[in-house]
Amino acid sequence: MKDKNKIRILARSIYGVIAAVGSARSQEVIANFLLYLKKHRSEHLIPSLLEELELLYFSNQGIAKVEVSAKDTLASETLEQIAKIMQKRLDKKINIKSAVDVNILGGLKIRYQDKMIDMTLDRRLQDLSQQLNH
Amino acid sequence: MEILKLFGVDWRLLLAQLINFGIVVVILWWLAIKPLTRTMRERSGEISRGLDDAKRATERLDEVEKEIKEKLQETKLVAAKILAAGKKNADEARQVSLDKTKQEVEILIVKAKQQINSEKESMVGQAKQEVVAVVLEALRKILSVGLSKDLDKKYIDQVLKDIK
Repeated sequence: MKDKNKIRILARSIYGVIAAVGSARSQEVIANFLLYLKKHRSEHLIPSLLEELELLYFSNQGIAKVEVSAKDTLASETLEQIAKIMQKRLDKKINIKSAVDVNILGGLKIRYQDKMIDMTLDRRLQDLSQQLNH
Repeated sequence: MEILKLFGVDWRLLLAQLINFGIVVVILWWLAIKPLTRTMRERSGEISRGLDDAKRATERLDEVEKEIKEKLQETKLVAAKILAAGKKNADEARQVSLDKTKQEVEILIVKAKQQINSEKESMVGQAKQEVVAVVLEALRKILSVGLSKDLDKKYIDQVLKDIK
């Protein structure tokens, strides 16, 4: 929790500074920031900081990040179809990413804005189990 | 007098003897007969009183016996009543006890039935859960092996149509 807050504060700070100085001096700002992290032995925060910066960027640009997980790699037309559905649902531009999850039996999971649409066969089987047991 | 002389009686002596006899009679009367008569009268009175007392005592005894008989009769009646009441109370208490026992037995039967039903439902539920778990596990294994990419794509297309 402490790291999460720290990451959020750092991401907002660096994002604000870059936005203020403009793209011309952004590399210098980033370099100084990386040195700061190294000095404070906080390099392990870099992946989380990048995710937070990405979220800030998407938020400021009115873009929703959507992650789709499935058993196999999804076809591009399927991803486009999902992007359209989500764009209609969220009324935002969509940045879609797909991932392979070998633990999924079939179907897919869509994650966005701390929410999840679970349309996997695993979920269907769980629902079926609950229905049969009651 | 001639006759007296003839029989050899001296009238003077006779007179003296009569006087002596009279004196003796008076003394006897005074000293013996009178107290004896008084004592006898007193004794007779005592005996008479004793007899009266005895008679009264007998009468009293009869009365007491009669009272005792009456009391005994009353006591018998009371005892009979008490026995009857006791029997009635005992019958009532036995009936109450029987009713209570009957109720307890009925409650036990109801509880036993409930427990049996509960256990039956629990067993059926458990068996159902086990069957469902086995079937779902089998289904999961079949799907993990047998679900082709095409079928998965068809399923995904279908669910995407559903969420539109």
